[in-house]
Amino acid sequence: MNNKNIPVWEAVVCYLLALLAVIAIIVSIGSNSANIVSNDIKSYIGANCSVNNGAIGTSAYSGYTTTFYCKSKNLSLSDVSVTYELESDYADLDGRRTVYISYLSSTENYTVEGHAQFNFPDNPSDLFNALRINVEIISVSGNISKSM
Amino acid sequence: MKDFLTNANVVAVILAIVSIIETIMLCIVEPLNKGLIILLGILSIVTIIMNRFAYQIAKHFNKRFSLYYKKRHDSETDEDYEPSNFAILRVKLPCYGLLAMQTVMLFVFSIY
Repeated sequence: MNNKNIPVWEAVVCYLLALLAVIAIIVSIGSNSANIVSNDIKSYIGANCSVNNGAIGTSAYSGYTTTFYCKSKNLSLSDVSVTYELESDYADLDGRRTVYISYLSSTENYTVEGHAQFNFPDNPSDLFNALRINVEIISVSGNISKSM
Repeated sequence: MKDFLTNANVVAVILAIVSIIETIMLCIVEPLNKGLIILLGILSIVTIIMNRFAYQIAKHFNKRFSLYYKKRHDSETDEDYEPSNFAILRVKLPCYGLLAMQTVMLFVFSIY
């Protein structure tokens, strides 16, 4: 064995390591392109969501529209579809209701913004400042990578 | 064929390519700690170079420590500083450790 050749057992170890690495690369390529549906991340995002404008939103023909955005340091979101729930503790609006998402985009890696439209029987514009909204992502699908 | 497969340069190139691809994949599956992952990749490449020149590095350290600790270091030949297999392995171990770590990280981040 000359100086440029390594022992056979060491070469075997190196090639085994390389083989394992190649398997890991293939697994990561496979998992990265697969769709993941996860519910256990809602608490992460829910805590970081807020309504963009001070009041709930502006009046529209079929209800009220609000703009909100969600940020998460624990999640990278791209090309995702999201379901939201709005929560209020004000009188008749108490409880949760599902809103229709008319617009959703991911402007940067960790930000999701959108318009939510929801219907009230009247026009309770004076209630808006008292209304508390929690925007929660209750289900996410798409390409997601989650930090440990 | 055996000579080719056990050639230190060939092994170093293969390990370097695998390490670079692993670093890229880690950046994709775990985008939040890119700096740390790139640092790990750079360290990995450095240890692969150390792995390639493990014999020379071990010999250099043998010589250096001999100069520190020997009372007499007036030897004319280099043979006194011939490194043991253990000394060479000690230089090579970080390379295998880091490569294994990258592989395990890639598995973990891909699956979870």
